[in-house]
Amino acid sequence: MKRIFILLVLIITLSSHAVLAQLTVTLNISYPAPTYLSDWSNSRAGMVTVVLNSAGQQEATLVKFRTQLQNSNGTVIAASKDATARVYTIRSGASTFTLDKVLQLDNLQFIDGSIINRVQTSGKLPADNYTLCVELLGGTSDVSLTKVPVCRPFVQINYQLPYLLLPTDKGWLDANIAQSLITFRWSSLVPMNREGVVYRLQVFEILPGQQPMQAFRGNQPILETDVRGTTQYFWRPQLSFKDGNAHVFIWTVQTLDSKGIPVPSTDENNQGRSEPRVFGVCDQLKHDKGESGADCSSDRKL
Amino acid sequence: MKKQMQYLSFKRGAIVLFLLQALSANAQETPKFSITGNMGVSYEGYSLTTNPSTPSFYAARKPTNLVRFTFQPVISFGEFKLPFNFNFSPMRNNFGSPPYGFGSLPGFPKQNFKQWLTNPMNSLGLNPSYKWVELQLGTQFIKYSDLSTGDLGIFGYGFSLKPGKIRLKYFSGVSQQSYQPFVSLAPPATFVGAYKRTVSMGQIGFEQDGKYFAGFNLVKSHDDVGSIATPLTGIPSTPKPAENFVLSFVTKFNTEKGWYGQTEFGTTISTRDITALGPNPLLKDFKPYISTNLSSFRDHAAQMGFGKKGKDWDIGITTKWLGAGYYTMGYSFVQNDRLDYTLNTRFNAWKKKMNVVASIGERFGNWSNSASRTKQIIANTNIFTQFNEHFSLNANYNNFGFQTPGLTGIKNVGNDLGVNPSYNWSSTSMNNLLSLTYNWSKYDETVFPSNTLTSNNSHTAMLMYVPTFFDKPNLSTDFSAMYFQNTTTPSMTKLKIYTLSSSIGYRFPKQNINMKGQLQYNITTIDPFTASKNILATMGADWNLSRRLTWNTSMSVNLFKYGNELSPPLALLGARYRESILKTALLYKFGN
Repeated sequence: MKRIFILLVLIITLSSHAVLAQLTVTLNISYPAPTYLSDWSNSRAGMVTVVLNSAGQQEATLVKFRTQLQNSNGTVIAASKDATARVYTIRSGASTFTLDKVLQLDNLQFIDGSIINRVQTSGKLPADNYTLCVELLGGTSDVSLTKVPVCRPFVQINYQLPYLLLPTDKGWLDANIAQSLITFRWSSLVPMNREGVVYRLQVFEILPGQQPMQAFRGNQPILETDVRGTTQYFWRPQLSFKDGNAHVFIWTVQTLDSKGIPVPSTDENNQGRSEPRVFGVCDQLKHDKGESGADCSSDRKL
Repeated sequence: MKKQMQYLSFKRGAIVLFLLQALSANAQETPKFSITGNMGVSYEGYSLTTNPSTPSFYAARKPTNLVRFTFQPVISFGEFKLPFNFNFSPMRNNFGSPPYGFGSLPGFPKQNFKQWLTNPMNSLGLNPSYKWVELQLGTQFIKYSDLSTGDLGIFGYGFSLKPGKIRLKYFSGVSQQSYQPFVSLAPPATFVGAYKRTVSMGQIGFEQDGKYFAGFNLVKSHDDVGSIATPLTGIPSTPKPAENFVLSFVTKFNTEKGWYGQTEFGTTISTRDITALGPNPLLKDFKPYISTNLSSFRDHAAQMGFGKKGKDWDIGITTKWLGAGYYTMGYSFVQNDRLDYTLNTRFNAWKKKMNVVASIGERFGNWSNSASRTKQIIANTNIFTQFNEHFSLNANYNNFGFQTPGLTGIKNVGNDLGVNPSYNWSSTSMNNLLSLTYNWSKYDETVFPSNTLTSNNSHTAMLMYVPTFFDKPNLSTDFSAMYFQNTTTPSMTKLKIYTLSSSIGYRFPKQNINMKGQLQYNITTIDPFTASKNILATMGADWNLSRRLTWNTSMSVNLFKYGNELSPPLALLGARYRESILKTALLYKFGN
């Protein structure tokens, strides 16, 4: 009986080594990692490739992932639960998984209270350097099929889009100067993208009877220009502002990365556009009126 | 006794007469039919000719044709009011919303009726009301508060009830119609598409007009997952269908002694991707309003403002905090994870000859992460003084500083100072106004990727002369000259602009026509290039065809000739373009 038991243990040990020798796990994570943890399901966030070399065998193998998330100090901040990890079927050859299958948000137990709070409130990890470690387990046995976990460092960056500074929000400009020049200024993207960014300055004229957001969403911009390396632009409008009417504009800056992809923001439909601001150009400014120090004699309001 | 009876009958008769008079007076005040407001049509034509035509060096900045219709009468019948707010165009020029300027791509599908109806360009709203009942139909721009509903146009239906002090509001509609993704090979372009977005909102509260308000706002927004047949998943990809719930509590007050204030506390639950798996172990459902999944998060926000207003002064403080995950689909562009506060004041001094407006505040970005928190200071002052009937002086100063921590931190600091003295004097035949404006601006910024500090120094001087001839009261004219220079260091790049401008207007009283024109000449030099020059000429007329009908027309031509800043290539040496803009509008006013 004892001999049979030893024999069985020997067979199981040898077979798991065999499987171990046949598996290769490759982990790729984009730079920077997706801003929102839920965006790890996008294929552009990265992939996990598992290659099973079973020498002609076509049998399906059941596997599951054991995941660990470490912070920049190497401290484990989250780990998956083996018992409740999802089981996947892989066959001979390469199988690819999106990163959310590895991250297992539904099965990931965060250890650090402050991280839990950040993920709960924003859906994002705090900006930092992290390491993701993945280990492949047998789908039913929970036995490790890889010698050591495969680990990849990744960078979490939470961008803040530029804040529009000049012309001041709901401020009037003198048409005599604005007809030649209007200066735009905005704050930088924070943190600055190491590959550089393009600021696409867009100015929309609010036509009489239009609401600001109506013009912003519905009109063609009167100015659309790409600005690189600086957060200032001198616009020579070449428009007739001294026609007795007030002209009102809404403007924004769209921030694009070096590949022309909009920098992520909470609402993906915004395509990296900053919170827009409104300003007006007035033919006859009245400095003694208005809460901002100047008002326009026109009946148009900002 | 008889006299007493006579007195009583007289008294009764007087009362009856008084009542009859009151009734007849009331009868005169009963329903009066009236129409006020306006309607009109406007056309704007734009043409651009570039020389050479290739390579491209200047893009059209307006649509070739833009027709807009407005229909905004208010029909009143006693206490029943029916305001129309129609302004619409058959054209599609959206850039800040789908299709993001791709609408003119060859083969791009034309907008269907639903897309036209909910196109942000078009507003088709009706708000019939009777006493405290108002129906809200069609396109509405509904703002319940700063942290809840938003500033977008929504096409739908709803109501606003104001019986006594109770406030009950509801509205539901579409803020974004669905657009299918579109990929073009020639020219290569990808439009990612957009899901149909529906917004529903409600408010319940108590209000005494002008005194106080307290109430709750609820807003639920969601994207229709089925509205896009095949979303793009590559780069770029279709934004995921999202969902959002907002709950906020608002209070406002104004006292007779001039105190005023408002507070709002809000919480949002946002689901970034409705199709993501659930449940979320960190965030429970908030049924019946929203079910969470693995892409959901919840955060809070608060804003407060208090102040006191006097006859000649006003002082107040406002503060706003938005958590890192606070998000509303109504204010989708608002930057979260920030804290800011501002102190505002406004007062008159020196026998009301001096008017001062000032504010100072700070704004912190990345508030949730102290290591990478950004700090921004904003300060503005404007002082206007009317010394006497001839001389006035306006001075303003603006400062803002923006910086992020660390050795590789960003630093942007702007200082702007402006003075504007104006002097007018008269002779027996004319009045003269001379106005000088001088602005100095210094802007230091960290430039990337070199990470160096660059400084911009700008000077603007503008002199304007406005003569008024007493014997030609229908004639108006002015002349101005402007000089601008910006020097960027350490590159020592210089930009200079010289402008001469003059405008003239004349009113023909018999024909009811106002003619106006403007001529502007600019020379711009950007070191080390040769100067570019442009001339802008505008002519226009406003003609009162009848007491209610006005026809406004203007035509402007802009001729621009570059120096050598665009070359190489050699073909662009001395490149030039001509822009023409024709605007014409017919406006009819209802009522008196």
